[in-house]
Amino acid sequence: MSLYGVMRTSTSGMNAQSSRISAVAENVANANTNGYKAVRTEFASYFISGNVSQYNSGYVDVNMHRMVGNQGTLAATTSITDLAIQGDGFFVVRNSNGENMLTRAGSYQTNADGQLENTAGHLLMGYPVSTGNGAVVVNGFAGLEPVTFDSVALSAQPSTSGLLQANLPANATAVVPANVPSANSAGTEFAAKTSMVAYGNLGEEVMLDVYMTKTSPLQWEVSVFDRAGVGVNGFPYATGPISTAALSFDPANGHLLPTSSNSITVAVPNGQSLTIDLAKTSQLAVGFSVQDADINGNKASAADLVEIANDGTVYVAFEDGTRLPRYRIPLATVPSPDNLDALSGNAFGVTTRSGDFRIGFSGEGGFGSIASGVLEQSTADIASEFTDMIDAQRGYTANSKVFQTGAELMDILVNLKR
Amino acid sequence: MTGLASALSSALSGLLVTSGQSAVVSRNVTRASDEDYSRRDVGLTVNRDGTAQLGSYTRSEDKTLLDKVLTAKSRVGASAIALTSLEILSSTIGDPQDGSSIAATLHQLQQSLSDFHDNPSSRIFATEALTAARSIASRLNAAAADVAKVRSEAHAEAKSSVQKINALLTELKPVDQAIRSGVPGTEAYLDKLDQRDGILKLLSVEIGLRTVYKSDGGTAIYTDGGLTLFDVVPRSIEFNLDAPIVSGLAGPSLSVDAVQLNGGSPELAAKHGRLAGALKVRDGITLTYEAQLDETARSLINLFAETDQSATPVLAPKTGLFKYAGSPAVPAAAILVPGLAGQIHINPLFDERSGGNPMLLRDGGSNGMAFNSNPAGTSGYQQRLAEMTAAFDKPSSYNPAAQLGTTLSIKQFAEASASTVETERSTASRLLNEAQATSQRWSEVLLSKSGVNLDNEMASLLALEKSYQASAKVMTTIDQMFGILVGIVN
Repeated sequence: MSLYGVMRTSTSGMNAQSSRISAVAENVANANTNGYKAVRTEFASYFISGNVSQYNSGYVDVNMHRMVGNQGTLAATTSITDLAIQGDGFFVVRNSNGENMLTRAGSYQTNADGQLENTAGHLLMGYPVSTGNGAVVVNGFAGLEPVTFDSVALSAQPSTSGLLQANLPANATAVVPANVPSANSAGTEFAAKTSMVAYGNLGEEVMLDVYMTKTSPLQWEVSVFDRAGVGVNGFPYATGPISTAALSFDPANGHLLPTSSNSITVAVPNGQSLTIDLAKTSQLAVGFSVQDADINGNKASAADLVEIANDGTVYVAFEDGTRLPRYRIPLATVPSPDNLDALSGNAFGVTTRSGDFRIGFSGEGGFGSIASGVLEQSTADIASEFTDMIDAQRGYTANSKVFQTGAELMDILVNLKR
Repeated sequence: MTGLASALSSALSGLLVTSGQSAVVSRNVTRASDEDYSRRDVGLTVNRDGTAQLGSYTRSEDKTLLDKVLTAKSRVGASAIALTSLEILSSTIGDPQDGSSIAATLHQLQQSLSDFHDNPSSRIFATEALTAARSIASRLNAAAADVAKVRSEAHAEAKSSVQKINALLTELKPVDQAIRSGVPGTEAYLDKLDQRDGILKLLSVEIGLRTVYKSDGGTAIYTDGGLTLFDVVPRSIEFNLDAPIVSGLAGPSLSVDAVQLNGGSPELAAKHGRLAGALKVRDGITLTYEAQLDETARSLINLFAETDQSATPVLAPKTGLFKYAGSPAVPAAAILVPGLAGQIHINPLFDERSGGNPMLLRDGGSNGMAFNSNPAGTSGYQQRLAEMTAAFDKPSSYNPAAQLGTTLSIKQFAEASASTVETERSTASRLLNEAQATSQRWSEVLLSKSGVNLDNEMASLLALEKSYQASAKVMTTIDQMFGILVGIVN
């Protein structure tokens, strides 16, 4: 009986429109939720096959689509731990039950344990740089750990490599073997001297005195002393040189000969073996000058978060000014983001319909880039939601009118029998 | 992205960007007169969705120009102190034409001896000659005291310069750390760069330096001689011992980065800056001038020395009219006796005021009858006076440390000394003028490159105001459109 069908069809229309209103309500409510992805209502027609002489109306079916792949507007903030992704990809976060989830909501703050936690209480995950990028598991969460800045624990790094690039004065006078610094005598002569800071095993500063002495034309001696043993008048030091190297220069251009040693290995007192690269040393007829000098390592101090770069690298700085990468924040993506399972807290779960996830880094193929100091806003647009709402209201009213008409017709039918 | 909310968000980003830019302009304007401030600019980055946001801050800077300014400042620092000291010295030695100069008093002494020679029996002329002698002795004493004062002032200046350098290097350490660990493009980072440049400018006045900017943003500082002053941590500069200044000897040696600068490597020392200038005055200019005064005094003592008048002289010569700490032994020719100019004084035996006899000048014999060339007491005896008068023009040997030549007469020596100081003074004055002009010129060029031009700032402020108005207008319009939309719902 098609009159019943009319009432059922219009009821399904009203149900569909109320679902649509519900979606509008959720979208409008989350219009200011960072990382929120608006949900869109799609209708599908549903027919009942019947004989041609009498038509039975079908139904309308509701499909809710969450438009996860849509990019939200970016808004600038003043916190460097506010992160947003421009383009495809999700941050990997972990909830309190230890489950890994994906999210686009990037308002992170450091919690009491030094971890980066977003507004939903999820912890941002990253790869520690010490394990290198090779440890990335493309389709699993292995190797990820919560990005943590323990501002209490101290860490030190002993020096292992360095660089000294200098010009040695070609017109210096050659020193007799008895008076070269490596002889460590009171009458020591040298043409040039510089000093460098290295770090021992416990992060203590070790001052290294580097003496450069011409021993014969085109031949130089580089000797490294521990400053701690310096005498009242410089030489002699308490102990002889830690290390000595002989450099020979090419008379044609003043550069090191290929046969000459081009580095010096120094056993840092209470530290590691430090190799200082001397390959760019030159011997030209101008005064002594250091062009570049650098030794790695840092003093024992707490690390502070200073920067999250566009490639997801998290930099920390130590008290002595050393700046090091500590974590790299990866991005995850799935073949069909719109089919991800929306979870509370702006998070998404991987489903069979979304396809399996893939992990990579910001800027790599198929992944967007991470921006620091910005937040991705909700994709819900109040204006279009209002338009939808008005439309849904009209649709609901129209369906109710059809229902009313169907009901009135039923009345007439029932009243045929007095 | 489409829709009213996105439009609102774009307009809002416009407002934020514009207000951020005007904050930069206002900061530029506020610090327009600050020489250490470099003009800031802020870039914009456009997000994928078309909204704009403030990008990285940049600072107008030119490291090559800054290096030029630093070098020029060091030259000014060195020349300024050299000139000040030479001016004091020049005023003590006096103009050779001026009656009160050492050369002029020498001339007066010779003149009064010559007058006495013409009237050998006159006690009045003898007294006059003695007055001239006394005035030259006190003149030399005063000059020696002045030189010692200039030396000790130069030493004090060097000490204060060392303290200032150490303080500045210590101040630089946290700034350098902040730069190395900081994020380029942030305002805090640029402020630190400004601070660093300010410290470098102050430091360059004290000591000539060379800077190396490293890849991690840190700065290494070396003296213009190549010694390390700062690399990660400051190296200390210190005077090894706070010994007093002794005349004739270089002052306490300075050690930079554990290298003794008075030792075997003088070429490593800084060549410019207040410290280098002060050390040059302390151990160079004043030492030479002190040697000149000492040699003048020594020559004068020798000139008036008395010799054994016996037929076969057996006694060594002894000091006569002029005495010093080593009297009665006569100082050897051409041997420098440090501090002699401060010791020279009139032999009281000649001085009427202390009961002496000025006529000893004519006859000699203050050291006993053996030294008396006029034992008969002839009142017309002239020979010794004639010899002494002539000796003023007779060449004798001088120590090369005085740097005025080794064989010349005492009058030539005194005049040469005065003119050398005067020449050095005028050279220093010229150098200072040149250095100041260069320094000023480079500073102006640097300022025009990195400083704030108020006209430009005002122009950009006007542009920003218009853009702010436009963004605000867009927002008002969107608000009205929302109003219409909400109105429909009712």
